[in-house]
Amino acid sequence: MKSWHLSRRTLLRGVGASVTLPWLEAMLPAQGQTNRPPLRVAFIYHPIGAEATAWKGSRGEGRDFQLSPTLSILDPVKDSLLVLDGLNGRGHPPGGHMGAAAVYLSSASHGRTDTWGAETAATLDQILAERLSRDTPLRSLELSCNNIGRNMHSRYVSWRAPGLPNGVETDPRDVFARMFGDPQGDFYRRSVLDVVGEDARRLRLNLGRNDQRRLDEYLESVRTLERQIVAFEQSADRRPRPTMARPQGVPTDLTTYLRLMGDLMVLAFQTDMTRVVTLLFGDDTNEGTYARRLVDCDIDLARFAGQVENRYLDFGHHSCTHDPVPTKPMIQAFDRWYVQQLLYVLQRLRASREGNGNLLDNSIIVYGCGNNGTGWVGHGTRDVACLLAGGGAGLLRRTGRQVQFANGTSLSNLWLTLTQLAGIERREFGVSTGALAGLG
Amino acid sequence: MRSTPANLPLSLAAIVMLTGTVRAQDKSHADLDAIRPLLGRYCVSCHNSKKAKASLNLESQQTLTTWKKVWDRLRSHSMPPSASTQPTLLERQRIIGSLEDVFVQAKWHGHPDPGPLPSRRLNVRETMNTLRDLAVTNARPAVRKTSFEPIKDGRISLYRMIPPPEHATDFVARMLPQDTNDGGFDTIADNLSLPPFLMEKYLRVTKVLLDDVYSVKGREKNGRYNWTLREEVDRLEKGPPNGMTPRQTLVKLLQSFASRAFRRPVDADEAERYAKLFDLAQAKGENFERSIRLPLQAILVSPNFLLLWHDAPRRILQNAKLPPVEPLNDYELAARLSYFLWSSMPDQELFKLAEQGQLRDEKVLDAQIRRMMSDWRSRDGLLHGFLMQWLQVDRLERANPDADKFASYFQNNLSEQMTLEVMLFADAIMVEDRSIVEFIDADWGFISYPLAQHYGLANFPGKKPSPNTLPNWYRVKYPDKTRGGVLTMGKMLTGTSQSLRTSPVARGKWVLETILGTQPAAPPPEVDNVLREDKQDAKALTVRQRMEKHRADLNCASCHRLIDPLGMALEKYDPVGRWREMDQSQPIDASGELIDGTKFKGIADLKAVLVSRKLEFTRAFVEHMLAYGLGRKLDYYDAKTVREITARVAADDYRFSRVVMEIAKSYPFRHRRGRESVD
Repeated sequence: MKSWHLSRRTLLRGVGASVTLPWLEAMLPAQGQTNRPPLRVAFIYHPIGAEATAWKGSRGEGRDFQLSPTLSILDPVKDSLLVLDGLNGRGHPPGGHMGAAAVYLSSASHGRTDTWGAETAATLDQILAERLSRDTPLRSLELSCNNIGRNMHSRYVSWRAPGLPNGVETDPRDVFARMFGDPQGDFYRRSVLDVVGEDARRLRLNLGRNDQRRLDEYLESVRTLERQIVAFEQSADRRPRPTMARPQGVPTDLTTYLRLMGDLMVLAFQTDMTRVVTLLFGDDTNEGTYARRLVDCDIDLARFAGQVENRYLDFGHHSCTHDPVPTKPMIQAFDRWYVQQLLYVLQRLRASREGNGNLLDNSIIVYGCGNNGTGWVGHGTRDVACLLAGGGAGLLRRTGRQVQFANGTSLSNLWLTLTQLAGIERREFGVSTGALAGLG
Repeated sequence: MRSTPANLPLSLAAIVMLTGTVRAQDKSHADLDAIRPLLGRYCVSCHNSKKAKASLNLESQQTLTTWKKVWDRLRSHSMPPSASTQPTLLERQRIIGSLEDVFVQAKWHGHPDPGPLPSRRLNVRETMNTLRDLAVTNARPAVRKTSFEPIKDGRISLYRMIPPPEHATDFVARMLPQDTNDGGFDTIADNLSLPPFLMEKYLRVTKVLLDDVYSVKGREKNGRYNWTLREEVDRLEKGPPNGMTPRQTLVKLLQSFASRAFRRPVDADEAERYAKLFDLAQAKGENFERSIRLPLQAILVSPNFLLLWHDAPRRILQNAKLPPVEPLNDYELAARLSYFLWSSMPDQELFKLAEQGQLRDEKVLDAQIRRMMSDWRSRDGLLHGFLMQWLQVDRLERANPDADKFASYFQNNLSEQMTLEVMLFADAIMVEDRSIVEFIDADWGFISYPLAQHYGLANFPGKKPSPNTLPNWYRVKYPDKTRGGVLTMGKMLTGTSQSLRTSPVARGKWVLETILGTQPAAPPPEVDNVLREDKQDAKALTVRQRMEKHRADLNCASCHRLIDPLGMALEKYDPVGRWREMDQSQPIDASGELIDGTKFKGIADLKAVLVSRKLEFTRAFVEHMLAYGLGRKLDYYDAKTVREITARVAADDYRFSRVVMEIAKSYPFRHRRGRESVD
């Protein structure tokens, strides 16, 4: 893996900023060598839970592969898809479906709860990152297009350890700075840290032993950031160059926002900044003034004429799921809108050439959520929305089909399978009962 | 006050209270000697010099901190273990009472002991409110004009009241990691450590604040807020007033901003250190806006801003040379008041009084506390900070009723309606300065249409709201004891239930913790609570049968005899708080027997019993609020304060404001230990 890195970087240094894609045919090793492009994994979270009658129903494989109404949007990339049906999410923690995000990727086993009463554990992305991102500048990236509300169990899908969420980047500008630095900003940040570090040292002199501990914590916090900045500066010239312009903050338009975050995810893979990304298109807090409504998603209200009563048209996505019958067409429209953004990301990946194929061939993109879509959309955990896209760098050879699992198969089993595909020896994962057969 | 066995108080906390207040306070450690024989009989067989279970040896000399643990264990009935010989209630009461008498006399180097004042960071709520008060002033009048009196058509006005209006800096709560509130409150210093990644978060939060100051929001003139910080900075940019150089004006602005941010006067030299950052940016060719952001941001992430109780510059001396106890300085007292009552920084008036040294004047202090309670910011502090955390509303919010069985709960957004019910009720007690005993039992409350439907209340005073409008709220009088007070509110009943059934254990525990102030011990590690409940679900036992079964287990009995009856009294409320008569097709029996032998038959009796023990409740309430205000868990040295305040509150008809006043004026609130240790 190391040699792959060096060759690409050497090249980068020579060609400089004019390079748009780092992976060029010339860098490919001679045929037959095992030096393959690395595997990338991304988990993209579909908020609330998809309406099942429209989401489910994909059938067949190869030429006979038929996509369900919602998923038919993905027709242009259908040969890269594995639609997985029949998988059960892990039971909700206290607080209900809002906390589904927290247990989505850990499917934590029952027993030990964090201080908030939820059973959380290190998540799959973090476990994969340890293996896949060994040689990359960043271990993983956690992105979210919605970071609203106070409930950490609904905001984060990536957790370092029980009770410890990884946090998320929500501002495209910050995501970019984390990958490619912000030399000017860093200079000022350091100047500020110098001043406040001095404040802390002065205060510390005056304090009794017990209170000094707080100042020590403060100083440690300052040093952590300083170390980060220094490490960044030192590695600056070894870093790949970005292939897009520095974004300026959060776009006001929701579609643009989701796509920009998708672009940044693709950029992270293109430049091999990291090989594991979690991206929440939205989270399960979707309430009050922050609710996403049809107009926010640029969905034309006129098309619901005759299908949905007018009074519902202003409902947010989550509110709709509490009146699921009369608002069903709306919920399905939300789902389709999210899948449309997924299509954009998948197409961007496919357009990025890499080796003999493209980025999508070398990735596994997991799309779905831990809430199900029957009855009370998004409030249960049975037969959740789940699909894989991409060839997984040769690991997933038979894409372009629907796979039906026996009722009650745990989503945990998929996570276990993914760890094994990535080459991690593991017998169990969360509440898993065994690996899934017939994926590879 | 002698109690005959027949009317013994409910739990031991009550007994302590009753005996404690009337005992003479000038007894010596003879109190301890008097109970040695009792300890010898019930405790020493395990806690002796040879065995010393849990590293406790009661035959040797013990510190008061250890005695406090003994006291807690006895109060919560978790010791002696149920397999051992139990002291009679009277004996237990004697041990607890005597220990408390010892605590009351505790001294710190010969002075009354205020306890430590540990340095801590601002919690998330406080950071949010403080940044708001630094950057913007509210366009609303400061004095709160809330009235819960019905207006013309019978409803009450929620104008700018509830739900909480838009917060100028609510992004803070989204960007900072959630605080824990172990020990009940997010003000407890032990919870408020600074993890290594926090500095990065603070830099981001302050950046967003300054972005706001400089964005359209900062410019809007007729908006909700006046962005005072922006106005100040704009003035500076326009040019200095005559006679001053731009540089002097800059230092002056930073000096005044830092003084407010640090809650104490800042001199020109100190401000100069931040001003250098402005120079640095200017030298790099930045414009005015980019340059002024740097010193402002540095001030907002400085430990002087983020940490409380650190700025008494007198610790250079040796421990022994320090005064054992000292009063807080004026600025510290101002900050302590504002963070207690408002969860935010002191305002101009408080700051001025501190500057003039007037806060030490009892009359001024009194007037200030009254003023602060009637300020709208008391909603941030006393209501959302204290009352909601005391009632554990954040924990109750995690309720997860079954979506199929209780569909209407979700359709009508009842979780939110129930939170509002609690909030309005608690706020009314505060605003109308009612008796805190009404938390247990009141014949009034607030109701909205969906909630009235849910509760099955006849005679709803309003009309059915039209779809897609927020329901109005009405003040009502309840005809009987099935509603009224926090015990019978939907939030509490739902929040303590499992998704398909009620949990008398969780309900009993909630009553014990909030109303009676006893913390039941956690189940022993070998007990697997979850699994057992699940298996029994399959057999469709009634909840009562299930409870009786686990009380038969000796491991569980000692605590659950205390907990379960309290919950059983609430059995006639279903998992989402509706009134019911049947469970699993069997009529519900909500009667029971409390640990002291008092028999009851359901909710009306339970309320009556709890009201008759209002002293015990008051004591618990005072303990909770004192811990919240002092920002630490209480210890033995607080026994005296708690006892005194409880007596004064009782003498003033249990009024809410009396509790607040007494705590804000109490000795530990206004003093700190000067020396750290006893050496």
